[in-house]
Parts: sequence; structure tokens; C-alpha cells
Amino acid sequence: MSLFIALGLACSALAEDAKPYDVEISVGGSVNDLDGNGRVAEYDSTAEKNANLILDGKVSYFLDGGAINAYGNYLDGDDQSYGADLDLWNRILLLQTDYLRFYHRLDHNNLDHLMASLARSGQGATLYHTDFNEFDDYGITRSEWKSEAKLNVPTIPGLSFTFNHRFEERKGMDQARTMSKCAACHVVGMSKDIDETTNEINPSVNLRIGPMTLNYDFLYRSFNSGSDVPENLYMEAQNPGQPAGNLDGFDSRVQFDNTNGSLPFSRTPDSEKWSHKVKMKADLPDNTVNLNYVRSRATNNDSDSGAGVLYGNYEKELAVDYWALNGGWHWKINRTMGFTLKGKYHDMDADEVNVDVFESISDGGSAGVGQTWADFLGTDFDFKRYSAYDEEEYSAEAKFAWKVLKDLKLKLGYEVEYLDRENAEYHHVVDDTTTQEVSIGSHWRPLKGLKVSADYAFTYVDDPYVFHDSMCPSWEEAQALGFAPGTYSANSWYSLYVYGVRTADRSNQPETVHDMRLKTSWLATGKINANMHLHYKLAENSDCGGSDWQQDMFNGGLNVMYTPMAKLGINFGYNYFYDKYEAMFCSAFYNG
Amino acid sequence: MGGQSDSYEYETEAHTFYVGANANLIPKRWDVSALYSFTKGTANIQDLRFSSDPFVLTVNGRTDDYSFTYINGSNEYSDLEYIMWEFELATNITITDELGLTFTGRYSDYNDQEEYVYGELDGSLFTLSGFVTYRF
Repeated sequence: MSLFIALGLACSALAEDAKPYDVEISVGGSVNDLDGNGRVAEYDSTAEKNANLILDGKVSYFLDGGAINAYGNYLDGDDQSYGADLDLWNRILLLQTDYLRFYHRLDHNNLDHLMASLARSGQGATLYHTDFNEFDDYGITRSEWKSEAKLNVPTIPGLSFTFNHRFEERKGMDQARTMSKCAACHVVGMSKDIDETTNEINPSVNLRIGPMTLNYDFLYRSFNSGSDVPENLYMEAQNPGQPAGNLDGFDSRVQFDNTNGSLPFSRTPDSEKWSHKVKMKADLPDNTVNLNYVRSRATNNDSDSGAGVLYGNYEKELAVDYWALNGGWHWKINRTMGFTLKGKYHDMDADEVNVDVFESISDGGSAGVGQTWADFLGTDFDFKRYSAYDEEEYSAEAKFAWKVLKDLKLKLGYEVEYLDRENAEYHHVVDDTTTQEVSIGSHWRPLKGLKVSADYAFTYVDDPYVFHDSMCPSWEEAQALGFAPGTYSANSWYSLYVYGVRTADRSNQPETVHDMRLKTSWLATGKINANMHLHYKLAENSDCGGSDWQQDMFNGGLNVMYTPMAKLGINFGYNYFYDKYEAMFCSAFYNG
Repeated sequence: MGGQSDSYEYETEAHTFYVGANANLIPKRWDVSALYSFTKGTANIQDLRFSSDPFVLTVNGRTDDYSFTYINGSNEYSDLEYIMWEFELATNITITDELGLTFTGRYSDYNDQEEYVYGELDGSLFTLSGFVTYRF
């Protein structure tokens, strides 16, 4: 056990009445003893140090018509925070900045659990692993610097300009994993240096004229990764139908193997996002109306700079365009009743991509010399990728609130949402989904000091998100399709003989949801304050491939604060969370 | 090509408990507080079981047998269970209006009872810290 050292300050000062400043400085230290794995200190960077300093301080300085406040906290290089705010000329100019840095300790997958091995007779194919950096510790230091400047234009009341800036940095080391396929299944783990930055600028202008408020907000965000991209030398392709070392032209059926040399993996692409938002709000007598418009574009800047053998040739950057219009109206009918109506439309559109699959040239075997496997089969593996992001959504919501009694308030609500997935046919999913929700709730104060709120919502989805033809056929179904045990087709390929014969719909999305919540808050006396919350959700889907899907979720908790005397406070709490869902596990066997 | 399917249940459970107390032993001069927290989390797959007869695969004259029952028991690889608890004792002493002392002792323990992918995660951390605060 190390000794604790506290460093005292040997200075003193006489405070003056109504002094224009407040200063607080703390200096000390900490001793730490970590035994075993660092998971117990997942976010504590000082845990592995025997000792560390503690430096903390706050300063406030009061000006004529303003103030300056600053704070700082330092435990070590990976655990520090600073900030300051400045108020000048009676809130005409407001400046604020905050900086935070902390360490997140990550786990290291030693890959030792990959013990399965199936080496068939006369064949070298098997499953094994290599952790190339088994002694490396992984963790990321995350830092974030946020600043805001706001100018309230003194000559035009209601007009203000705001400028926000955010800079986030992630530095450290993490584990990257990849594996060889169509060879021995060789799973490898390698250390990857992480060096990522996110830079965000966000100016906005706000104008209030009488009951009208107008706002325009612009956002530009860039993400850049300077991380080293690890490389792996994949195994040599191996013909599953031939003894080890006899490829018999099989290398023309894979996109890459060791003959392509070391190849990059675990790449994180750079990206950018722009967005424009316009908001309008009118506060009229007994009525509030708002209307908002959003348009954004997010772009992957590295989609055309990958290694061709791995990523094909996308030829252009990938972008997702989004725009939305939403509005709301709140009507205060009288002193006891209120009505709210909301509506929204959004459209999302992503680039379609012509994927040019890299195809190896055969040097013999089934495919002739100089042919690709696609040439031999008389087909084309290139394809157009239609984005699953392409969708349109319409939603509307109506709520009615009624204060029935002085201590009882009721709420009724109805919400409908229609989602149209434009490329559903290419992703084998449901093309449109309509979701309706009916809700009822109440707030009740039966006794002085006791508050009870109860809410129930029923949701009906028609049709929920479902993957069509997503399960492998049973062994009996497979045999009926001509796949008898032991049959081997030299020409079989995955899309036709695995995905192509799948049957039945599967989903983990509900068709019906019952959601119940109960909250109570009880101030029993001046000495006991207790609150309790219960939440139960039952979700079911009986329309997925002849097999039901169900989820049960319960969350409940109790918190009590007991103050038997002014000098003593006791508090305790308990929370229980339970979640169970049913799903289908499909084990497929593919011999081809 | 063929397969077998079975429905299974995935169950997650978490208990969180805390109890704390703070006492003002000498008004405006000496505070003491203590806090104990306990968390237990479990997750597992249940009722996954295949029951087909083994069959023989013959490929280019070589034979091997296979059965979906070979993967029975693999659901236990997904079992998760851990217990984490922490106890903290802290005191603030106000020596003068300008000068104060703070001491904190904290012990944390993480017990992984289903270690698997990330190996042995058991660990404990003891921290004793203190600082002097000066206000002016």
C-alpha cells in the first residue's frame, strides 16, 4: 500500500467584502492498486498508475455588465477537463468553451475460443487462428472540444447569431480481425493504430418578430481517419474437392488469395456531411404553429480509392441525400383541454453503385486457361447495388389532453406512420409498412404528496419489416430440390445454391406491441421521499414464416431517500431489468 | 445443401442495487459519506437443440459423416454472467472558511463468471485519494 500525500498550500489571503472574484484551488494526489484485468476500471486511465496528481480549480471574475468563469481538472494526460464562459456587455456577447479528455480501456480478443476444427480426410482445410499482437493492450483516448459564441444584436431586438464548433479526436490502439476463406479458415488478429478526427462547424441565425420566430441552421461535419490500415497476407486458395495443393483451376473462383500479396483490411473511410435546417414558429393566442424543413447530404469520400481486388470499382463517391418537412399545431381549447397535431414527411435517397467484381483469370482446370469463372459459367458476377436507405416516410400524430378533475389529467393519442422502401425487391424485404399506435395515459394526485402516472399504448404494424426467403430449407426440402446428402456440384455458387434456395420469412420486428408504464412519487413526510417505476412490454409477430416471434421486457425500480434528522441522509435503490425474445437459429450445410 | 432450424430464447437479466448515507458530523465543518453499489448481469441462449440422425457425405470418393447434433451445446458459448460491486467512503473537512480537506477511499471488484472471448476479466481496483482545497 502506498502512502497518500496531500500537498498543502502555504499561502493565505484576506478576503475582502464584495470582492470581484472567487477562486478555488485543490491540490492532492491518489494512490491506486489494480489487481487483475482492467475491465474493472474501463474508463479510469489512472488505475494502472501507482500514483497520480489531483489538480482542480475554479475561477469567477465579475465585470461591470458581465462575468468570466473558468474551471479545470487534471488527473493525468488521459483524464482532464477544462472550460470557460464569458458574458460581455450585459449578455450581448456570450462565449463558452469546454474540453474533455478520457480513456476507454478496450478488451483484447485472444481468439483462443476458435477451437473448432473440421479437417476432412485427404484435405488440409481446417480452422485455426493467429493473434499477431497477443501482448498488446487496447484502448482509445477520446477528447472533445466544444465552443459556442452567441451575439445578441443590440440594435435589432430578437436577432441573434450563434456559431458552434466541435472537434473530436480518438487516438489509441484497437484490435482488427480478418480471415482467409476458400482456403484454411485462418482467423487473425492484429493491432491497429487509431487516429480519427471529427470536425464540426454549425452557424445559425435566429430572429424573433412579435409572435414569429425564424431560425436557419447550417452544419458541416467532416470525419478523417489517419489510422494505419493493417494488411494481411491471406492463405492460398484451396480446392475443397481436391487434395491439398491441387487447385485444379479453383483460384479463378476466388477474388483474392496469397498470390495478390498483402492486402489492407479494417479500413475506415473519410466522410462529410452538410445539412440545412429552417424552422418557423408562431405563438398565437391559444395556438402554437411550427413548420420545419431539413435537407442534408452525407458522402463517403473514399469509396473510389480502395484496392480494386478487394472493393471492386465503384467509380464514384457514395452519397445519401435526405430531406424532410414536418410541422405541428397545438390548440389550447380551454382551461382544461388541449389538442396537438403533428405531421412529417421525409425522403432518403442513396447512390446506386455499379459493383465491378474483380475476377481472376484461370490457369487451367474446369475453366480454360485465360477464362474467368464467370466466362466458364456463361454468367456475369458484376451487379448494381440498390441502397436499402432509399425510402419515403409519412407520419401523423394527434393528441388530446383533458384535465378532468383538479387532480386528474387524461391523455389520448393516435399516431400513424407509413414507410415506403423503394428498393425492397432487391433486398427481399417488405416494401411498405404502416404503423398505428393508440395510447391512453393519466396523471393523478390522489393524496397530498402522492403522484401516480399510468400509460398504455397499443401498436399495430402492417406489415412489419420482414426478410423474405431467409431460412435455409430443411434437409427434406433440400432433398426434394435435388440436394441429396453427398451431392457435389462443381458449378455451384453461393448466390444460387445457398441464398437461392432459402425459404420462409423471418423477422425480429413486432406486429403488435402492448406497452404499459406506471410511475409513482411519494413524499410521505418531510423525512421520506420514495419513487417507483414499472415498465412492461409484450411484442409479438405471428406472421413470419409459420413461426411466432415474441419479446417480453420488464424494467422496474424503487428509490428511497430517508432523512431521519437534519444531519443524516440515507438513500437506497434497486432496479431489475429482464428481456427475453424468441428467435430462430438455422444451421445450414452446403457442399459445393 | 440443406439445414435444420430450431427456435430458441435469448434471455437478459440485470440487478442493480445501491445504498448510501451521508452524515454531517459537525455542522459546516465535517461531512462523511458512504456508498455501496452492486450489479449482476446475465445473458444466455436457451432451448437450442437439434436432433437429426448423422448422414454420410461422399465427395469425389472421400466420405465424412455429419450431423446437426454436433452443434448442440454451442449455445453455451453465448453465456454471460458478471458481478461488479463498489464501496466508497469519503469525508470533507472544513478547517477554515478558506481551507478544506477531502479524502476518498474506493474499492471496486469485477468478477466474470463466464469468461470466454476476452479471457480472464476478473479484477479489482483500490484507490485512496485526497486533496486540500483553498478558496479566496
